Amino acid sequence: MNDDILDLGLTELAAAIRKRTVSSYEATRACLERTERLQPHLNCFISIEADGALKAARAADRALARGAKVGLLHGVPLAHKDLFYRKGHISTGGAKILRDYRPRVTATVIERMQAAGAIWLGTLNMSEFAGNPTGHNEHFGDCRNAWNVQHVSGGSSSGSGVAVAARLCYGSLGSDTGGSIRHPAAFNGVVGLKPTYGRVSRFGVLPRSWSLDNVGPLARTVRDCARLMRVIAGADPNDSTCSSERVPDYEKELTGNVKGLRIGVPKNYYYENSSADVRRRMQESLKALESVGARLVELNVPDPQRLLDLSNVISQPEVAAVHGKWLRERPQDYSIWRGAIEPGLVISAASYLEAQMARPRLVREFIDAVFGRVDLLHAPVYSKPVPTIAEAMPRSPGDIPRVQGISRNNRPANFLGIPSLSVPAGFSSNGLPVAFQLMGRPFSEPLLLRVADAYQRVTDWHRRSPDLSRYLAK
Amino acid sequence: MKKNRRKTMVTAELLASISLTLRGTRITPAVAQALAPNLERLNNAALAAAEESDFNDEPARFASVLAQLQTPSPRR
Repeated sequence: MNDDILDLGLTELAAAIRKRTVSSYEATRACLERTERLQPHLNCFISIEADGALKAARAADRALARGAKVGLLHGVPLAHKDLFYRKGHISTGGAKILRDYRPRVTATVIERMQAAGAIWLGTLNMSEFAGNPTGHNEHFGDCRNAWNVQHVSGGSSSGSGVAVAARLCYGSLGSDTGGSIRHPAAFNGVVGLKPTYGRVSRFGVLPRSWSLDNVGPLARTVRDCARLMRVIAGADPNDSTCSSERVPDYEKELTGNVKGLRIGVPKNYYYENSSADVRRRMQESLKALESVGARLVELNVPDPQRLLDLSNVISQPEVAAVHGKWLRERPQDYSIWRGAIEPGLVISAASYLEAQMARPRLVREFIDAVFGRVDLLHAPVYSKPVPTIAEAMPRSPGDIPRVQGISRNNRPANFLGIPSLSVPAGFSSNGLPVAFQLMGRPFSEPLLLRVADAYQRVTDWHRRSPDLSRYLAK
Repeated sequence: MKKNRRKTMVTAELLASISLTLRGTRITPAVAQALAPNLERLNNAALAAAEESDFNDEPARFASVLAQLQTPSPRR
């Protein structure tokens, strides 16, 4: 019975709870029991709040029994990256420095989750201070890929990708400054959305880089992501960078109709040094999209390497400013990934502002050049097979740029502020998941979700789940 | 026509000195050595971008540009 419950997607479970064919208590207990057995192997949780979750689940069931009006996530067990603040509760940011940090505010997205009725299972592992694309974490232990524990989970929202893939929760929130939602989603075979900059509030979320940070969902299906987006998106008086654009009903946009849409296939940059098996999966995904009516258009895009460099000119000083006091007073409490923060100390304020000045112009140039010709851009999230934990560990601070190369296909979208959706597209030769991303104009999340949902109607990669039976056997 | 990018040279010594003098943070020589080439590239990227910018370019325009570009620009 537990396995049947855990096989449901988020929206399916929400519907079943609402109809009272499944109780929130059963679903929550099933997640917690599975977590108890898999956590020693996957290390995707930082804290597990079993008692509180079961109590909340019982309350959710009682509310339904008395006919209360309930929210879109009523009784659904979720868990989130450990950087979303809850007033008075420890939020570690995956860092030794914040091991005992209790914020004084609650994140707007968490308040919205709670208002929608979601159950809080615990907090999920993440890269230290959201700072690496692999999921390495020497303070709380490396988070391990759900498909093969010898391989990296992807980061920085490592626990989010793994917990969703391993069926330990039905959905999760992550954050993305340069691919931190898309890497773990791609590496674990789940869906992850980095929304348009400002689409989702960042209030009460541990900052990495204010100008590039985004909050977004990870879930098993596109439809599940659409549900989570409906709950979290929208204006927030506590975040002046949060957009007041109307929030659509993302699920209603999932019509399956993609006839005539033009999907751009980049000829430059995104496939450099790609492996043959990843290229094959990309071609297959494009064929599937073509089979449902999309048109493919090959094109050159304005130099993404330049956008990547400028995103670093912006992010690194911002990161260094966030960490300035700790770098001076507690440098020994960082892992090797302190080396990703230090460069920001020596980028001049003038260089930083020159990158910020150029940003609106470069965004306009890119969008006019690309989305003037096509509706969406399709590219691999990562163009090689998922590496092992050992392969992706930096050998010295000077080796960090090599490992950061994992995010090269993702950082340009953060500079541009455009939405990017990671979608499972099969497996590479080492048996680890492969994913493509769809990018579009600002606020085109409904279109991205519609096209990806149409893809999931004719493929079944999103229904595959990792074989974890060896860890579940008693 | 594209202008040539101006070249700057970021050395490990300069980098370590700035960090210590202006930021009060010590960077080891080995780390400074590793960071220098990357910083030089980023510095030059910012300079090159600046050469194409106008003095009226306002960073805070970013949010309004995103809002404007959600639909295609009218043909000029």
